Amino acid sequence: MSDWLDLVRAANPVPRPQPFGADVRERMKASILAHDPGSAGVNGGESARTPFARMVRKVPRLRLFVVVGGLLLVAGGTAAALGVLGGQPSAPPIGKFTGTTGSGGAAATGYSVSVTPNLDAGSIGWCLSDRVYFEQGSAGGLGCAHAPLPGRPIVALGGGYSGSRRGDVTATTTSLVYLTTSEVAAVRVSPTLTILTRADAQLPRGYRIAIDIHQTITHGHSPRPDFARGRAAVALNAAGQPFGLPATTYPFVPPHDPSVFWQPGRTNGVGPQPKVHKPPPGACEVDTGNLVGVNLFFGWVVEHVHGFPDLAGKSYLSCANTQFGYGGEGVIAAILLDAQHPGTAPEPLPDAKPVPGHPQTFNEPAIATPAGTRRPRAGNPAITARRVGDAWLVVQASGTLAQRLTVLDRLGACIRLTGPACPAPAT
Amino acid sequence: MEQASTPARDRFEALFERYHADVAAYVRRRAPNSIAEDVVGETFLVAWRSLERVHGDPLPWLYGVARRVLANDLRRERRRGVLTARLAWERGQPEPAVSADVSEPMRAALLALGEHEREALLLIAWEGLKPAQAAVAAGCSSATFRTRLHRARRHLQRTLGSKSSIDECLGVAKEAGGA
Repeated sequence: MSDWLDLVRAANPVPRPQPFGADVRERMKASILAHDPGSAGVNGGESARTPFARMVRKVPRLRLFVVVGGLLLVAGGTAAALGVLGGQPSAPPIGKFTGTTGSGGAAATGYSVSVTPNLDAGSIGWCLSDRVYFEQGSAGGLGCAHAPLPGRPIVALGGGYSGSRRGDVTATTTSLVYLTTSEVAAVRVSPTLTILTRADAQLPRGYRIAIDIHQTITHGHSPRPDFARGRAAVALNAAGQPFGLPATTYPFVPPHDPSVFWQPGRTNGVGPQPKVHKPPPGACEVDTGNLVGVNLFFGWVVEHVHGFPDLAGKSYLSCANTQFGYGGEGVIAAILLDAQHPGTAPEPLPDAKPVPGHPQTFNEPAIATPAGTRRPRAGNPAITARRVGDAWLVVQASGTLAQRLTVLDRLGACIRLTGPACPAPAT
Repeated sequence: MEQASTPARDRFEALFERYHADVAAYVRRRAPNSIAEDVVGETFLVAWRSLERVHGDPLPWLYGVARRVLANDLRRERRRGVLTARLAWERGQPEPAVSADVSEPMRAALLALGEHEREALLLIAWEGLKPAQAAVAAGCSSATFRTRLHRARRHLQRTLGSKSSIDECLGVAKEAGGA
């Protein structure tokens, strides 16, 4: 056993392959075969994840204590008045579950849904996240690159389930979330479930949302929720007529501009190449040179920005993304352009407020949590941004507004959509 | 509505049933269980869309696709998790590495290898591929692969050269074997 290769073999953490269960296999195959064989390249890295896989990707199952309770309802649902359309009103993006008394602290107490700009360099669109809060923690998921594409009024779908189990008692929360364009009055999920969309100040301008979320307490076996119906959802206009493609047709490869990855101390290829110490040339660059003591982690740069004029709604294109440590915090800095027409002023950031004393600077607070729930350690932190020409220089980090402003004030941005690439040549 | 059976669908379904467990194991050996299903799904989506390119022994090709999917997935995950796992990130690497279930001494030794060397070693030791197959999975020529494997062996022997290091690994290996 002293042979080096035997040592490695013995350390194999998965000695024997384990097939997925039959239900998982069937679901995966159905999800894949729903798409045209096409002629995509073999670059797996360019393949976006399946929206269905993302949707049913379960959040961590919390093992709490004994659950005693009954059917829980989402609080505070208020519908847009939509005349002839019938359906249940969308739940609000932030809400509490009622009727959890006596659950022993195991049942979820509230939830939040948020839509934030996608900061991944080269990507356009939005990130959709949902989170369920328990007395002793929270669980949730995040999916990004949801772009408003022509003929697809359902811009994004998300959801999942989470729960806690003790003995034969299980509390399960299931959610379906649809981000839509403004023309969508309702989302028909199934013959028995239609959700009326709603506007909300937290959403980007020109978008609506439809949310169905509920919690159940069961004894004995808890069947796995069936999310397949969510994929077939169709958009309805104000007259109740379906239009556009159903949610299931969301593309596997969302539109994007290719970006180049870089990391200090690494080479960008095979063989003897110089190690990278700064971002490669590109259309944009986040300049961290004035941040004394910065610890650069890595980043992405878009080499050539093309824009996406055919989008069906306003969105951003992230042109550069740099991640670093500074002052004990992890920071993501990005440059956001107007996705349709790069070089023109991008939309205001959703739910962002001007920061007094800092011209052209706005702050988008972290996702609000339902009253009485503990703020999670994970999730989307706050965003603070400054207008730089026809772009946003964005800082996303935990910590205080003052800390983000300190970083933002010391960051520089280079944006060159035509002509020589960033960074500017030394003179 | 059930879709009609076609030769392409039949071939894909056979491919999936035959190899998905191997691809899932490949992923789980390098990344958290939680992302295995997604990565396997994306890998076989690429296979479905590139079915005409899948010839001969498909498993090394599938490993190669999974490697690239996994690399991008881990980058994405780290982009999103940076604010909650900053310290882990600073120590981490942006490429597929080694499952956290591996014993710490061996994990440290494997992580000390270069990315290409480590993958070469693991394709042989964990996936059980022949060098020619492993070269396909690694996306390089057989000669290049053998060079990488040779370097990996040399570096690993250097790292594990001391008796205490080997004993540590052996101790864990025995525990794992007895489990």
